[in-house]
This record gives sequence, structure tokens and C-alpha cells, in this order.
Amino acid sequence: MKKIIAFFWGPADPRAYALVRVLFAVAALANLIDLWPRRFSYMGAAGMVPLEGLRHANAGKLYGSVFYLVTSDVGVTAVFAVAALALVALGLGYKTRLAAAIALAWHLSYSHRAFPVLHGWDAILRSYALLVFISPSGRVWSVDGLLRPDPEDAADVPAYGLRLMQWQLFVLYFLTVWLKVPDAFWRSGQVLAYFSVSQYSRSPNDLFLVRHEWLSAIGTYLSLAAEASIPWLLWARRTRFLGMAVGFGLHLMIGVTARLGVFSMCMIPPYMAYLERGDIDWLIALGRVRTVRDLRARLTKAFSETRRASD
Amino acid sequence: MTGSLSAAWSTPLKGAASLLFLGHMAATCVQGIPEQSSLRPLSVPFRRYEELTGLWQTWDMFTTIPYFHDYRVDLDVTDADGKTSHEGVLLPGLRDFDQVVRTETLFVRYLYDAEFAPYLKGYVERACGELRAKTGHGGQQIVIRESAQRMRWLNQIREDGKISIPEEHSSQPFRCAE
Repeated sequence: MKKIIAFFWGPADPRAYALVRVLFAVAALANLIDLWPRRFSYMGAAGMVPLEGLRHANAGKLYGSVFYLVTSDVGVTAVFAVAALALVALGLGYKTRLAAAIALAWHLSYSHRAFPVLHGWDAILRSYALLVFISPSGRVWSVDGLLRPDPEDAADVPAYGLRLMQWQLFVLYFLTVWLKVPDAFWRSGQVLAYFSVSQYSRSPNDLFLVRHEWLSAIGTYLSLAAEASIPWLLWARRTRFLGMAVGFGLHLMIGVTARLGVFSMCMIPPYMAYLERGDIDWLIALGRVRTVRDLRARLTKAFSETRRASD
Repeated sequence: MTGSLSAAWSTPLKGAASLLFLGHMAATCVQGIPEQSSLRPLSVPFRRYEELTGLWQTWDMFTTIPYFHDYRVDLDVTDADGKTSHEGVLLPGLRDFDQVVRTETLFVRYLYDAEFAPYLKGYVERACGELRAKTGHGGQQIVIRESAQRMRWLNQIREDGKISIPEEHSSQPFRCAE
């Protein structure tokens, strides 16, 4: 039991929580902006998702949504506006706990109102909204911290929120690989070629990957390998930044080539939950680098420290 | 005294919270157990928690290839006197299909997933309501018509450069009330 308590209540850098919070707020705001033009179609009383159908399909389930009560166009717009303000406040760290509560209510509300239009990234946002809400707020980087500074803000906080976030990302990648591996097209390496000419592609008439199927095969297998390895790479200190580079590369590629930019944005915040104090210090130092010589010195130092840590 | 009391409670409280965290972790992963698995019943005790907290999730995006190069959907409307017309599927306003991924997903679910049948019924009633408001009468027959471009196999595309073949699907006809 002691080990379990140490696992969840051991020390963590509050800046890791702050990074998750800020990037989560940015991704959630991008998603809200994406939903905005179709808010009446998806959430409104005269829209395409009838409340009576919703009640019938979800009878007996413990789903809650502010949109069950607010159905007028003005009301729906007001809910969107409040949610947008809360996400901005969450990102800035102003009245953080209240903002996180509203952000959670927003994600539950639109998800439980507009089931037929949901995708995987909505589940990412919904589960991380809950985890951000129950986690330490990362006050060290926040407007709240600036307005009422407290020397304790920079002190270590319990790791439980980060542990749950890490687990969520692990489950996400594990299950997606689990489901993809048996598929004939993933196995044959043809997925990227088909995807490139599908309606989800940003350039569906470009036959490059169809004509160079070997590139599609390499890309398909690399995508699978990346998804299978990212949680493990992130977990080990020595390979953490490699894991980040692989993950960011994968989601950048999806964001650039597919009409799924919001999905890519939503995948970035969970990675921050793996960062430890040394990683964040290193990233901050990297941000201050002004010359190539500085950069080389930083990288050499980090490499030797990582080697020492893993030895 | 208060400090030592809270210190004495600290470990049991942390232990209890840790058990809750373990439960949350279990709830996160047991949903991924396939429906056909004999271990699937393990997910049942966590369902209420998932519903209440919004933790329910599936990670089945792009588990196989997409099938369409292009996808559109509209409404075929036949009046009582036999006159036909086309209307957009977006409500409110019977506007044209917006080619947005979420909207496409909605129609594919409405038309092909039995779980969404109650939604489809409500959607049709609203579309009929809009037609009635627009024309001043009901009694139309409406069909949701998908016009897709189905992708051909890669070797076929390479042969002649033609990516897809047109394909149309029509829903069952729905009769609007008078």
C-alpha cells in the first residue's frame, strides 16, 4: 500500500500541471471555435439532433447536460460564450478551479447533447477536463499566482493527477493499436495511400502515395510503431523527448495532411503530464538559447545527464 | 494537537483516495475489452461512474481505411401531387450539406447504425416541420439521398488515374404528416 500511496502522492512539479492546463485550454477553445458555426444545428431545439431521440436512446443513463435545459438559440449561444470565457480563464489561470469546473461542465454538456457528431478527440477533451478539474491547478504559472503570490506555489505537489493523465494516454494508444493491428489495410501498409485520396484528406486528388505505395507502407508501419511505442518512450526519462518528438511528428503530419486539425491539437496536452522538474528546467533553458554554441552546450549537457541518470 | 490529528489521518485518507484513483484507472481501461470477450462483464460495475464523469470512450478512429473520396447528402422531396424537388439536409433552414466531418458522421450514424434510429425519426419530423413551414402544407415524402464517390482499389487507381466511382444510396421513404 505504501508503494501505491507513493505512486499517487509522490512529489510532482506544479509546472507540469500548468502546462497541461494551458495546452488543454487552447485545444478545447479550438474545438469550441470549430463547433461555433454549427451550434444551432448540433445543440439547438430546431437542429439535427432531436432531444426526444436523445432521451429515448439514453434512457436510464446518468448523462447530464446544460443543453437539456437550454435549447433556445440565444441560450445555446450564451452557453458557448460562457464556456469560451471559462476556457480562456483556465488557460490564463484566473479563478482556475471555477474555470476548470465550467470547462468540465461544458465538455459533459455538449458531449451528452450531440452524441451523433462526436469523435475521438471529444473523448480526449472530456476525460482530460475531468482530470484537470481534480488535479492541482499549476498555480505557479497563472494569473491567480501573479495576483496573490504564494511562496508555496513553486513547491512540489502530489503526482496523482499526472499519473491518471499518463494512464489515460497509455490506454488511448494501447487500444488504438489493439484495434488497428488486425485490420488488413494496416497490415498491408496501404492505409496512408487510401487515406490520402479519401474525403478526410486535405488534397484528395493527389495520387502521390497511390503511385508510390512503398512510401505509404513505410508511413503506415511507422504510424503504428509510433502509436505502440509513444507511452513507453514518454515514461522513461532517457527517451522522453524522443517520445515527444515522435508523437508531435505523428500528430503534426495528421494535422497537415488531414481535415482533422482539432484532433491533432487535442493530442498534445496529455504529453505534458510526463514532464518532470528536470525536463521543464531543460525546456526553459532551451527557450533562452540564443546561439548555436549555446544550443550545442545545452544538448551535450542534457545528454550526459540523461546517460548518468539512466546508468 | 490538530496538526498531529490531521497527520494521523493523512495516510488513511491518501490510501482511500489512492484506491479511488485505481478504480478510475480500471474504469478507463475496462471499456476497451471487446464485447465478445468473456472478461467484458468486468466493465459493468464502472458504467455509472463513466456516465457520470464523462469518462466513457472508444478509440476506434480510423481502425480501417475510409471508403469514400467524396461524400454528399441531400433530401429528395416528393409532394402529394408528384412534384419532386431537392432540399438541403442541414437544420435549421434545410441548408446544403456543409462537408464537415462531424455532420457527415451524423448522417452515416443516422442511416446505418440502429442505435441512432430514435434520432433519425426525430430528424425526419423536424425536416418535415421545416417543409411544412416553407410550403404551407405537409404530406410530402422525403428520402435522404447520399451521393458518394467510392474509392477504387489502389491498383485500379494506378491503372487509369480514376480515384473513385459514383455511388448513390437512398434511405427508406418517410411520409410527412399532413
